[in-house]
Amino acid sequence: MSDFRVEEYSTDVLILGGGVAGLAAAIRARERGAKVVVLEKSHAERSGNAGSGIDHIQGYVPEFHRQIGYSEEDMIEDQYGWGGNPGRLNRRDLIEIFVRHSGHDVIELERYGLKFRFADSKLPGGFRVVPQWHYVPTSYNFEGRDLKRALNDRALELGAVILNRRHVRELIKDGPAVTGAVALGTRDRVVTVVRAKTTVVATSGITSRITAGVTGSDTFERFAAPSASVGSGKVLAAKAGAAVVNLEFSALGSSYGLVNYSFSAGLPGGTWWPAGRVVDENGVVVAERRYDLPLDDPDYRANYRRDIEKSGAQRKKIVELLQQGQVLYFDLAEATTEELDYIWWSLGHEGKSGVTKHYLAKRQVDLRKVKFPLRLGARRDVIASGVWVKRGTTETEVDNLYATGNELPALGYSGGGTALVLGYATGVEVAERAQTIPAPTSDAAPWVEALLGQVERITATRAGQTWQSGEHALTTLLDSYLGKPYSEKNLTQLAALLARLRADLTLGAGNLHELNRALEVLDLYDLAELVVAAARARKSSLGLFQRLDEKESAPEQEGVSVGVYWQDGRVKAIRLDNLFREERGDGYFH
Amino acid sequence: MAIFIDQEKCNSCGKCVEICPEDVLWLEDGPAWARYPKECWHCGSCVYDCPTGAIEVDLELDVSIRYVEF
Repeated sequence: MSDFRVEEYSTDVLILGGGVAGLAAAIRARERGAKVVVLEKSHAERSGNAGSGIDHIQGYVPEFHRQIGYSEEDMIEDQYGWGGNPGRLNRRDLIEIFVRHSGHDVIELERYGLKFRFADSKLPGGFRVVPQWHYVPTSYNFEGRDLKRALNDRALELGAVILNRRHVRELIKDGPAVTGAVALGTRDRVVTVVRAKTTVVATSGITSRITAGVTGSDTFERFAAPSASVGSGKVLAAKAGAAVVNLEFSALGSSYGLVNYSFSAGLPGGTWWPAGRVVDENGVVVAERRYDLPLDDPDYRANYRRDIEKSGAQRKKIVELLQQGQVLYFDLAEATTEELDYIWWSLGHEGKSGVTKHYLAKRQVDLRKVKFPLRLGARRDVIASGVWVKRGTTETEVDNLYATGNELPALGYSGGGTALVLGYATGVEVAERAQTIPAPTSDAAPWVEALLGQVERITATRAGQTWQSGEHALTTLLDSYLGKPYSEKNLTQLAALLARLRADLTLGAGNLHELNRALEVLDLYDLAELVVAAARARKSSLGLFQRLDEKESAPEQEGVSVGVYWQDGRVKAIRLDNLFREERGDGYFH
Repeated sequence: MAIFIDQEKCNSCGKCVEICPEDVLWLEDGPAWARYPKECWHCGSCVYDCPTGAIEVDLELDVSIRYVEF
């Protein structure tokens, strides 16, 4: 492996991942004069879960919200109480940062030529606000197909160094502090060493690669890019000793979705809003379509809340009917021409929906004349997970290591918005911090050697297994045990089988592309170990997290996150308090 | 395969290869080609960014949206 060239950089701020959050952090840090290096596994123009666009983003829109009478506090309360994260698992301090900055930060994107105002809008400012699941409407449309390019170009213009096709494999540690990272080139035989005063984990919050159907069922779920959805940032942070919280929720079951798709498209309504509804085989409406509320409705807020509650009740009903064996369809028969135009527009700006749009258009599908069958799904996701940070900041408990965007824990589920706004916030924090830290002079050799040793083992393996088989074996095993209620015994067995599978794994790789994939698969196995450890550590049922042997959700579990990380090669589980009633409780679980 | 690169229209500029998030596309001598089509996640970036409109990406059957006609 001596033919790998080693390149070295020294910087104030190192950002791992050139997605929306990473680029936002790079922009703000450069604006404040810090030297910035971004390591990106793909290419920052189109990488990550917003790579080929998002058609909506979340935030407080002063012109709209004030007219209705929603304050920032209303939105903070709403996000904090969001039911998708049970048991007060939301972090109020981080949600506050998001909401308070979002009014400014999101609309700032207009400066990059991204269109936020529409001629057909009836709302102040010309915005189009779309309902999702929040009681305070939080999502609004924009033409975000080229969002990543705009952020990438801005970061470069400001002088950030963006190193594409660099797969980060190791964090360099010097005593208790992280002092940089080591990455492997995915197209060139290069090892990149970056020594940094501060390091930011800006990887994806989504870890959908540990569920089955990497390329088989996720196509409509537009924000789960396979390269970005490995959980590598969580693995890196946990190996550096930073707790990753609430991974046990990736063991959740799910509701329903379109056939061959992992999600329900937000039905009824959602981004298909307001025209999407659900009908049975006789055309009887099971879940009604939604209607825009008039702005001059004096009871707008109450009616909007009722609308969201009704939508939630209808979702439950859909699940019940499917469980009873009913045949149900997603249906757009009553969409107006204007609404159909909107749907086609939306598809064209929302990531891979653009290809779905092409698929439907090529086959001349009339969306009003076809119906999309609904089935119970098997999708799982990590909703409250992330790298634990200190109160009111994005700084982890490991010195000079930060997390940002959706790698932060327990946000109120506002994907694009939180990526951008918290990314910006981190950029400000690290630029300031870097001014107070001397440039590290750590010896990176042990980490470089470790990485090259790992590369050597994989590339020298004769008749090695393909990365695909390693990945499928893992996702199949996890799907056999998770995604449904389970007991301690089930988890113990799963942990043993997982360890055995890992021991049997002898991946091979014939070139850099396959090597990159093989390293991703190793991260998936590490992530799975963390997930199982977290599921075992949570000794109670909590909201959607259901254990067969721990039925009751204990009140003292409210606001408690389970954190996992590696120490001396073993996974440790700890208790962390989202409400900050106490300091971390090491050893609470194990 | 569901990634089609028009060999006449492709000017070998390499933009699609540069940005492809899943490292699917390849360029050697001649037009770009899909070396790892099974790893395409159908994001459409190459279609958007191709300066000559040479690329079409359709959904593979195993990831295609399923519907019925009435």
